[in-house]
Order: sequence, then C-alpha cells, then structure tokens
Amino acid sequence: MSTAPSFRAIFEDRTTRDTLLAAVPATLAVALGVIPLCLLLIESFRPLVTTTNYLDVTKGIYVAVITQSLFVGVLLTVVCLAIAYPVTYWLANRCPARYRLPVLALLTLPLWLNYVVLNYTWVWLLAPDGVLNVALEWAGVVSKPLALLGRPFELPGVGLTVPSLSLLAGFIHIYLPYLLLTMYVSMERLDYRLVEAARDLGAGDFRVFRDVIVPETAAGAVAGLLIVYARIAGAYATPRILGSESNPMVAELITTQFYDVLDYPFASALSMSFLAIVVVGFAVGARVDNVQSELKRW
Amino acid sequence: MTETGDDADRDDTILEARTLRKAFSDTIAVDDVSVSIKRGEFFSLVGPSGCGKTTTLRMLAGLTTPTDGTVHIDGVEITDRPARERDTHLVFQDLVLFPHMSVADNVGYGLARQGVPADERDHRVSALLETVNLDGQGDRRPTELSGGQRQRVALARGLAPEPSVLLLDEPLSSLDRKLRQEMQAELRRVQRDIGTTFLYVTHDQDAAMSMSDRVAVMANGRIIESGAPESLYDQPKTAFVADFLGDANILAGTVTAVTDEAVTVAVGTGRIRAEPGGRSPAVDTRVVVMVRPEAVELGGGPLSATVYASEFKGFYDRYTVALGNDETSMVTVRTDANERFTVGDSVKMSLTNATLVAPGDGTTTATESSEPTVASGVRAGDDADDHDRNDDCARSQLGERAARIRDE
Amino acid sequence: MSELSLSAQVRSGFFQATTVVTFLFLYLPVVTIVYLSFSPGSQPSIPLGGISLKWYAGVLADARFVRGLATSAIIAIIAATVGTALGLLAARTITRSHLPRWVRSLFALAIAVPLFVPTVVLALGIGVTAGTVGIGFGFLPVVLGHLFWVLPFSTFLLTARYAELDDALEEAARDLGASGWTVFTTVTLPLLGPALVASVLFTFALSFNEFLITFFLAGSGVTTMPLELFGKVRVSATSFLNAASSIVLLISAAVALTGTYLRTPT
Repeated sequence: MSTAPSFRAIFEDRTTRDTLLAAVPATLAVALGVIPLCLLLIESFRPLVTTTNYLDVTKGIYVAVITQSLFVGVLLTVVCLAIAYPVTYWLANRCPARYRLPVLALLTLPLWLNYVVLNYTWVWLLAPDGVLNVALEWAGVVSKPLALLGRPFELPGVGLTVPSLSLLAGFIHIYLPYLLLTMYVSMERLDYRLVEAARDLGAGDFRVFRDVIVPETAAGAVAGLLIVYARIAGAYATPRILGSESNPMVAELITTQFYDVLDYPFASALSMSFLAIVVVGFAVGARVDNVQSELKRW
Repeated sequence: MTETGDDADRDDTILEARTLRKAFSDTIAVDDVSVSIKRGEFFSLVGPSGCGKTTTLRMLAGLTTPTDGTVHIDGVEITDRPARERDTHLVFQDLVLFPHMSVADNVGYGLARQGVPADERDHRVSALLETVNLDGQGDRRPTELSGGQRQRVALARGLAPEPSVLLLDEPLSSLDRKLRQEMQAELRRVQRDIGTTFLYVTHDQDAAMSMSDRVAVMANGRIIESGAPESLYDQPKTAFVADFLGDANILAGTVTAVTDEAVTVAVGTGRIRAEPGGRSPAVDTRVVVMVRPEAVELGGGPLSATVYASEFKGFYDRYTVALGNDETSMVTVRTDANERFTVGDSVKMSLTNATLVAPGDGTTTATESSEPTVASGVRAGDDADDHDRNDDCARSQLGERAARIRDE
Repeated sequence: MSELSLSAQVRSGFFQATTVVTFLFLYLPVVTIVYLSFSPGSQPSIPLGGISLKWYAGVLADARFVRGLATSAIIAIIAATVGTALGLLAARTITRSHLPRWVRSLFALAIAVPLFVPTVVLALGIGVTAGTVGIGFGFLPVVLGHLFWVLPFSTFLLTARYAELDDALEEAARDLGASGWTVFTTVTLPLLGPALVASVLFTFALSFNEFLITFFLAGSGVTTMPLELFGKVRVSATSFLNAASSIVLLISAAVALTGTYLRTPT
C-alpha cells in the first residue's frame, strides 16, 4: 500500500478541494484589495511611525474638500432618488406589463456605456458654443452664451458649494441608472393594494407617499444610496471634465499627490481619511432595518 | 418472510444496517437503527415526522455519513464508500429530475455513468419507459410532464442502472390522494415485475401497509417494531405502534387474574379479557390494553358503557362510549350493526379482541406499573379513512436538511 | 371598470412625464453626439451641413487611439473570460463549499471590496503597491487590476444563480454515479449557462470602460481607449471625440443589447 496520497486522492478530499478552488479568486482579491489597503494604511504613517500626515490632512483645504465631496455625493444621491421614485413607480405600477422590462433595460443601458463618453456629451451640450447655447441664442432667449460649464454656486455661510449645472448633469447621467435599478426592484415588490387601502381610508397623495411608499421602498432606496454616494464622492474623471478648477473633489487631490507631488504617505493618509468617513456613512446607513437583506441581493 | 429454496443457509439479506447512528450538533436524528432487508422484498420504514427516516435512508444511500454503525450490501461493508460507488439509488422526495435534460437522458443518466454504450442505453431506456407506462415520452422535458408522469421518470431513473436496492424517500407525498393511490399500485406492480428490492420511507402508514412485504415502525430515531403488516396490525407489541398503524383504543387498567391464554384487566368498572401479547404481568399491576374499534360489539356482552357521542358514517357507525360510565375510559367503537344508539344510552359491550401492549413506544420504564404515555384513543373528528397524520413531516425534513447542510 | 379620478390622472401624467423627461435626458446627449459625428465641417452645427465620414476616418487613422481601442478590447476579453471563470470558482465557494460559515463570509467580503471602497482609494492602493513592491506598471498590472475590478460582479451574478439551483440536483447526479467533475459538467454548468453568458458580457463592458484603476496602473507603455478619450477631452478635440465616442458607444451598446436580450428576467 503506497504511503503517499495520490493526486486524485488529494483532490477527493473535500476540504482540500474546496480550499484549492477558493484560493485562486481569494488570492486575487486579497493581493489587489486587502493587501494594498493595508499597505496604504502603513504608508500613511511613514516615515517611521508618525501621524504628521494625518495632521497635514487637517490643515489647508483638505478637510473642506473632503466635506464638499461627501456633500456632493449625498446631494446627488438625493436628487437621483427624487427622480428615481416617480420613474420606477410609473414603471412598476402604470407601465403596461410587456413594456416594463424593455423600458427598464433602456433606462439602465447607460450602465454599460463609457462614462468618459457620457461626460463628454455634456461638455459638448453645455459649452459656450455648444448645442444648448446655440439653441438659446437662436431662439432669442439670451444675447450671449451662458457659461454653464463649471460654474458652481456657493451656499452662503455653510462653506459648501452646490456643483455646477454641468457637473450635476454629468453625475446624474452616470448614476441615475444605478438607482433606477435598485429602486425598481423595491417598487416591484411593493404591493399596490397597500396604496389602494390607504386611498380607501382617505389618504391624499402626500400621505400615501409618506405612509405607504416610502417605508415599503426604504430598504431599496438606502441600498442604492449606499452603493452610489461613495462612488460620487470619490469620483475623478467626471469632476475633472465637468467641474471647475477652483472647486476640486477629493479624488483629484489624491491623484495629484500620487502623480505630481509623489508624496505617497500623504496621499495614503488623505485617502484613508476619506475612506474612514465613507465607511462611517456605510455603518450608519446599514443599520437601517432591512437594508442588510436588500444589500445581500446585490 | 419464509426462506425459499433448498439452501436454507443461503443468506438472502441484500441490505443491512447495523447500529446506525447520526448525531447533529443539537439533535440525535438516528439512534441505534438496525435493519435487515431481504432480496426482492418491498420494505417500508414508517414513522411520524422528525423521527429520522430520511436521515437513515441518506446514510444507506451514502449521502450522509453515519456518526456510528455500519452499512452492508450483500455481505460487503460499504460504510465508507461515497454515494456514487454504492449499488443503491435514491428516488428523492421532490424527485429532483434534471430540468435541462430530456426524459430519456434523465433515465439514462446512471447508465451513462456506468459507461454503457449509447445504443444499449437507448434500448434499455425505452424498455424501462414502457414498463412504467411512459412509452414515447422520451424526448419531452420534465417540466412538460404531469406530476404522476414525473414520478415515473424518477422511478425509471433509479431503476435503469439495476441497483441492488432502490431507496425511495416519500416520493408520493406531493401527489393528490387519488393519484397517490394509483401510484402506490404502480410502484408495487413495477417492483414485482422487475424484482428489485425496494426500501420505501414514508409517514403514510396506509401506503406502507398496502404496498409492503415488511414494515418497520420508527420513532425518535429508533425502530420500535418491525414485521409483516398484518402481524404488526393485529398483534402490535407497543401502544405506539398500535396507535400509529390504525385507530386504537388504549386503556389503562389493573390486572385481576392471569392465565396462560388470557389476562383479566379491570378497566373502569368493567373487566376485559385480553391476550397476553407475550407479557406476563403480576396481579394488581397496572397494564395497558389495546382494542381496535372494529373489535368492539355493542348490544350485548359482559361490559357496560354509556354512549357519549355518535357519528353516522354511511356504511358504519362510530360511537364514543364511556366504559362503565367512567369518562376517563373512552372507547371508540366502529360497528355496522343494525341497531342504532343515541347519546346517553346505556349499552352492553363485548370485545372480540384485546391485547396487552407495552405503554408508549416500549422505551419507558420496564415495570408494568408505569402509567401509559399514550392518551386514550379518542381524537375528535378523526376520519378513519384518512391516515395522513403528519403535515409537519415536511417541516422536520427541512430541519434535518438544514442541520445536514450546517454540519456536513 | 374604474375610472381614474382627475387627480389620479394628473398624478399618472406627472409620473409618465417624468419618465419621458428622464429618457430624453439620458439619450438626447448621446443621440446628438452620434448625429454630429457625421458632420462635414470642423464645427458641427445643427442641422448638419451634409454627411461625412471624415471624422471616423480621422479616428481610425490615429494610431494611438486605435492601439488604445485594441488594447481595451483585448483586456476586456481577458477580463470577461478569466473574470467569469474566477467568479464561478468564487460563487461555488460561497454557495456550495463545505468550508466553515465564517470563512465563506470573510471570503465574500474580500471579493466585495471593489464594490464599496471608492475606486480612487483602490486605485491608489494598487498603484502604491505596484510602485513600492516593484511589480511596476504596464500591461500585466492593468489586466490584474481589471480582473480584480470585475471579480465581484461576476461572483455575485453567478452566486445569485447558483443559489437558485437545487443542490439536490448535484446529489442526485452523485447518487447515480457521477464524479465531482462529471456532476459539474453535466448538471451544474448547463444550468448556470445563461448566467455565465450574462457575466461574460457584463464584465466585458465593465473592463472595456474602466478608467481610474487603469489610469494608475498603465504607466507610459500602455494606453487604453478610456485613457485616450480622457486625454482628448482635456484638449477639447471635439470633432475627433464625436466620432470616437460614437464608435465606443456602438461597441458598448452592442454588448449591452446582446446581454439584455439573452438574459432571462428574474
């Protein structure tokens, strides 16, 4: 009887086989995800072990930029939700059944498209010599072109800025489909008879919305919100293309530190700070009931 | 079953389980089960929900590893062999037909795994389809078939590779009653035609009793009694089996006299003559007597009772009487006598057959003086024709399955 | 038959209008760009002066852009096939393996990292790692980065389908004599089929369009289509971009429509 187990025998052992099969994707995920994040954390305390990098983060514009970025993320998510609610409500309850999935497919098609291209279309549209301005001038609405690109509005007193029309449009174009998808799933599961029951008991539109629709779809809304707000806050290409130079978002700062300044430790500290706040947002959001099960579906 | 053939020493046991045990982290599903199944017989394992029948079957099939005990086929121990190396096949409760394959491919799957060449495979598959009355359905998909047809595909799939034993896990439970009865007859016919040994697991004692050569009753992970259906029904050894396999009146009483042929028991204000059933109690001890409702005659006899309730069932009447006017000794009576009685009547009663049984499932304390653990056999509204008792059998199977996934 | 009340009709009209406006918002810019890509003059105008393909010719003559397009396509094919295969392994591990529950949860969490960590942080992490550990930048790092990026999408797409499969089917196959590999090829794979196709198509699109991780990992020798587009946008090469965008949109839309057409609605 041979003492060395044959290759086949090793593969037959369930645990060994399971572990080997799991090892390949696990290695990829850990080597490019977990380990780099740990390295970033370590790097953020260089040289030696010091917190100067984090202290540097608190100086200057960095905190303001992070806050502004998170604000943009939350604001855009709320705007997209506001649009997604009526659209998905119509889709789930009013659209003829055989058109539902095709319409949903068309509404979510932008998810498959290149977002640099999508951003560019708005550059084109909103430029001083772009379609919108040309049309407005031709219609006699304005006498000279509107500077729509990259003109944010300051919110007085709060220190926050509402992003420019171009940036808003760009973000909505890219991220609205995500929310349409998550909200549709939630809306579809809403039992319309609840709305009918509320109406029957005398509820007006606003009441129906507040008492029936919002609670029933809250899980889907929060799930979509969590998926999207961090992406918007951490976006790079879109604000670079459609935003203004004077109002950067945090991703641009991080990239500059990496490529131009080559200050890896500071870049790490900056991104770790940003990540920390994002994660806090997740933790807060995920404690909402039902969000856990909703997230599991994704 | 009597042994046939000239060679009386020939062992015709095909499948044997010895002291099988399966413990999950929080329950013991199977506790010391030993069965011996003979070649060519139709053997049923019956029992209420959650008693370990499916787990036992899965251990025999090789899909669950026993905590203890051994499994043997044709004298060879196969406990460590995985499912695909065993000469048994399992017909699952929800059939589990391959939805992406045709009927013929489903049935031929086991043959393909055995390496049977395509020509021979096709031939054997169509012959088998004919046997189970699915002639010509080979190219259809399982989703296109009716419930009864799908059953037969599952049966054919298990039989095609000609296993030593076919294991069936309640395959009829999802069918409606009429279809179920038809399929029971089908199963029996096919088993007789092909001659494969069947081990059938079910909670439906009707099915078990009508189809099987031998039956084993299982509860709480143990086998309580086993034997031919008639003997289990007529001479059960425990109150549990008596009650499980049919309606039974279980009465507690005190022994007043003992002879070789009979034991006299005082129940309430009356006295019953009961068969000893292999027991030898002493006078003045507490014992349990089992009386079938159809073994009671009203209208004359040494016992007196008062009618408590009556139901007219068409071809028989069903009465609940209080023995000796004692409301703690209710007896269910089934009779087709011409005489009708009304509630409140005093009647005379005689028993054509009563027997002593062990209380409960026979595992309570051995002394005859223990109280019976089974209540008197009155179940309100129980229709004697419908023996499906276990709606929670499926739930417990889910529980067994969840436990299995957790711990395997 | 119930008549909708006036307010209900107004409401309904409002919802429908919002949907229509959303549609216009999402597609008008795209359609406009494609329309204008056929402009004969260097300054596109509405309506077009004529139809010309010269900008398309210009795009295809731009060697750098074509190289980027080809590189993106190759990387996307690798990411789609290898990424789906890895996703299959991961999905199997999560749903079917007998590893302890905590191991499987941790595994799923590691796979899901790209879904909830902002891409810029991920890209920085990989970039810093590549720089310090010495893997460097270039084609292979970009491919690995893309695989890492698409892995959670293919994994969870396949996990959803895997979880729907009755695991008793695999048991039945084993009971009938199939080895582990045979069970996989005769039962599991055919039943996973549509999900596998969906995964390949979607991960192709994800990789084809991926910008930020590539931005950090490409180095000087490698360029991809999104990087090229970004460069051109920064210098406002309008006419080039109109045609280039249309080409890219065409490819993505083709993949998307194939994917949506083949996918069974859940």
